[in-house]
Amino acid sequence: MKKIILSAKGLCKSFAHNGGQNHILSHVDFDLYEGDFTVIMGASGSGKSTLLYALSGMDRATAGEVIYNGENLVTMSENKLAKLRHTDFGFIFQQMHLVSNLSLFENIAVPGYLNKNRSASEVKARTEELIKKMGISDVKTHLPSQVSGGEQQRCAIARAVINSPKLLFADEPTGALNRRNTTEVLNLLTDLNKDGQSILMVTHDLRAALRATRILYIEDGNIVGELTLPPYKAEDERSRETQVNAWLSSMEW
Amino acid sequence: MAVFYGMVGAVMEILTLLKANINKKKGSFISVILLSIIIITSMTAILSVRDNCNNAMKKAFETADSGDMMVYLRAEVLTEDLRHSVENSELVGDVRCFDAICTGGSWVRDNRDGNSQFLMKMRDGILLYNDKLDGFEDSIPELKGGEIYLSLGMKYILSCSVGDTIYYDCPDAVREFTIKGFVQEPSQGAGTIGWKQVFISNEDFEKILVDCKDIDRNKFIVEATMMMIYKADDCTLSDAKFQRQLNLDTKIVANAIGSLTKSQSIRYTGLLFEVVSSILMAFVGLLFVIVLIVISHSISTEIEIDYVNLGVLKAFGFTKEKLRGIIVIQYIFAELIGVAVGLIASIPMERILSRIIMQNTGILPYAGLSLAKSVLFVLIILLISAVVILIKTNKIGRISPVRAISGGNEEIYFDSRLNAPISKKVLSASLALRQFTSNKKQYAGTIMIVAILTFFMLSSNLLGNLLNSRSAMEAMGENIADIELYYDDIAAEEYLDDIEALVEGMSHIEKKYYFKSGYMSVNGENLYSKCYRYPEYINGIIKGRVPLYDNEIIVTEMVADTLEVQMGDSVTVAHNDKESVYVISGIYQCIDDSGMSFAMSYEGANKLGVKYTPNIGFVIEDSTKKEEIVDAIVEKYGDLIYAWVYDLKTDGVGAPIEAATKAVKVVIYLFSIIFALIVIRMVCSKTFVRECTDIGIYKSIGFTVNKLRLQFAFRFFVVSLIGAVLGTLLSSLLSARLFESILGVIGITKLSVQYTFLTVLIPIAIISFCFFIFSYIVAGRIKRVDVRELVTE
Repeated sequence: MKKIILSAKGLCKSFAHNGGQNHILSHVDFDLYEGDFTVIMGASGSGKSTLLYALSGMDRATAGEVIYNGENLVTMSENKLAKLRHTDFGFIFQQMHLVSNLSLFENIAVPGYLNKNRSASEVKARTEELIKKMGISDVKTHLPSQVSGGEQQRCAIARAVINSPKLLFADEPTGALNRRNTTEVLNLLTDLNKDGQSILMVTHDLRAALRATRILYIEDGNIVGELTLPPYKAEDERSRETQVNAWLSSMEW
Repeated sequence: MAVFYGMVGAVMEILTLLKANINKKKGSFISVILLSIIIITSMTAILSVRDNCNNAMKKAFETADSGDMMVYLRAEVLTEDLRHSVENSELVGDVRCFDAICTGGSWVRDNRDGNSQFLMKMRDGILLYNDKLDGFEDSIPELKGGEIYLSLGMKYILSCSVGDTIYYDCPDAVREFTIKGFVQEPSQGAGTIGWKQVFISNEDFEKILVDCKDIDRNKFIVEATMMMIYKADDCTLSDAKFQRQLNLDTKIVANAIGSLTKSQSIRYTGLLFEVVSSILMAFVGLLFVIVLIVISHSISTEIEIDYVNLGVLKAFGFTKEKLRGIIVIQYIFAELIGVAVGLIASIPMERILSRIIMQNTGILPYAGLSLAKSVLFVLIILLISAVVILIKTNKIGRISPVRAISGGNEEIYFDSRLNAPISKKVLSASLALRQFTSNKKQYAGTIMIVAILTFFMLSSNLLGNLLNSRSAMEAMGENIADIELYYDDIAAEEYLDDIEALVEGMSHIEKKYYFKSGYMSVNGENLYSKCYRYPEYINGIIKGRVPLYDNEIIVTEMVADTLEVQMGDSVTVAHNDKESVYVISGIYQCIDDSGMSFAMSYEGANKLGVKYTPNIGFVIEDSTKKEEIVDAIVEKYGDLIYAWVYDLKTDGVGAPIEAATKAVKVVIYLFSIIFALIVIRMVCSKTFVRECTDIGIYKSIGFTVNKLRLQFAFRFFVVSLIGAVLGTLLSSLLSARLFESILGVIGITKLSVQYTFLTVLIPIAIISFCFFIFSYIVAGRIKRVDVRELVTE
């Protein structure tokens, strides 16, 4: 029996639009399990990114609950959410969003410094370890503008996991990358998952979705389909692709 | 028709973009309006008050018809021969004489004025102020016994009102009068001129003369005659040359208690405002520089932020010139709104300033704006602004439409040479520092602005110090003592050694000033003089040495220039019926008579008939004993000699100068804080827009809003601190020069300003605190930054 790490109950999100309400999420219910590599897929405008941000506490839902560790993120104070972001959650953006005037090393280390349970030297050691793991040792003193998109995204991943988060959120992490960099980033995420990292990723890239152990399909703000897969193995990729493709076709993707 | 539609289209596209720009950049737009309002209001008001005061002064002199020169003579000295020699001079057109009674000091309650004043009968040309002091009465009610009219300047020197009792130290006794009203007497009515004419009833005048009939005229001046001398119609000499030539021809000035030309009166009357307005105009001028820096910074940031939009507009056919023109119009439009509001606001401001200035000049100024000068000033401001905007927008030409549309931006370059490390212990502070060091260029303008504001705040402090510091006042030729004494009875002379011994017995005397002051003529020029028994203590020497021998004098630079003499030259000094030749042994600076003064030794003055030195000052080693010493002197010699404790803060410079210095300080501090507020709001807003993504990133990795606000504010605190330190350095280089150039009008050309810990700390602390607090408040917007901004849908 898998342990639930995060639950959404009756989650709604709507925006004011032309005097009316535009409902992006309507009563979404689902659980995320520890150790899973969950992927949310859906057409553009289906609400997948909105769902990701609502679940991660980056954005507040209009109604419903997001329960994490017995607490509702929807009603949680800003300061508590801020703490959660540097202790329990990690986040990877499509556009990397590294702080432009910090070196790659510093970009990774800064959230680590926020963690009161680690000394500066521990953070530095952990940063070095991640830099090595991400393969960006040669460019660690460079500024984001001086490195490639792939290197930036690997740095962003390292930043997201510097505090060993319980849950890693990723919003189209390969959306801005070329094929080679996409593979590298996906391999890193897969490796992290194999090491026990729970991941929730939004994507509409089939190759990225193949790395998942669970795929949720969202349509008009509702989860309408779910596919469970065994842990990813490179040698199974072709058969996995056929399976996922077939399932996505059934979802009218 | 096609041409017409084309023109309408061109105007419409510009208007549409202009409207959109203003809507989008409301903050910058409003900031430029506010800054322009402050500058236009201040400068227009100052220019107008200057003009109005000058015109009012001219009119007042015309009304009073006081002559081109006014000479006070002891009645005994003004012989028929002397009078006729003046009347018969080819230079003179007319002479009018008025009787006066000479008094010592005057006081109302605890407020004392030690200057001599002349009690006179009312004459034509003097105007009586109404109760509100905003106009004149149609006629002047005749004074009854015990009543007095004072010139308006005295109202503020003695802080008195109609109905108060004023006491006069008359030759025979202390007499009291009830103040019946205040009058406009332009020649000596200003707060910056010591001697005053006051008006009493004819019966009081005659009674005092009768009561004083037995007073020894050798010891006291009782009756005096005020001669108003008018130039002949064909006399083309300036007032100064007229005075000198007439004196050389007749010795009228050499025989006088004192004299004043119309030009001198006008100069002394307007002097304080001249100095104050020069400081304020320099300040406003630099505030305009700040506005230009703010506009430049704003344009650079806007181009950076709107890079893509500008590229898109270029792709749609907007030329570089059109885009630059839109930005020029946008800022000039903001300035024009500022001009309109500023001109309206300057009307009440001009009135307020006029009322303040009137307290010193004693002359009712005209009201209204000096439109020609104001318009010229506005045009200059707009022209300079347009040029600066055009220069700053030149980089629009370098925007490539293709690059902009493809989402590219100008290459961002971060200078990492000065990057401080990021530290866990002081994470927010080190991140704030990094924001600063990686974008130093962006903060250069802000640093310059803070430096200018700090420079002026610090300079206004230094100006205050200058007037309250013994060494600074000594450098300006003043005798600053701990204890001062004065005697008018020559009998006191024989006790002076005993008094000195008494003082020495209680505390060692470090410096002693024994002097007599008065007017003498040098090469015909009537000058204020001081004759020192101990010339080695004369202060303010800037060239040569003090006049140690009886054939030496020292003069100020202003006197040397006026007389066209230099050190080593010989001059003829005349006093009453005596004259002698002296060598100029040195040049000194002295604020007495606004720089037109000279000094000599008592031995030298002896040759001109000066027999005693009634003003005495002691600088003692233990200044805590000054009250005790004064009490002892008063107890033993009180019948013969006046003694009092000298307090630089209250007795140093006159109330009008003290008040003017404080007013300058308040204006500079107030404007600096307002400017700081507007500049911070504008700069922070731009920075905020530019760094919105970074703020979102920091929020996404767990930084709290408060931490980010502190980080934001700390950065501006550091920026302001650097600017403030730069401003302090600037002050150490330029403040003394600034004062010298402004105080040059009163003969001060060499100054060393005194920095104290508080003088420096206060402006730095205020400006940095303002920057920290204001930027923290502006950073409140961080609350509204949504991490969703980082989402790419």
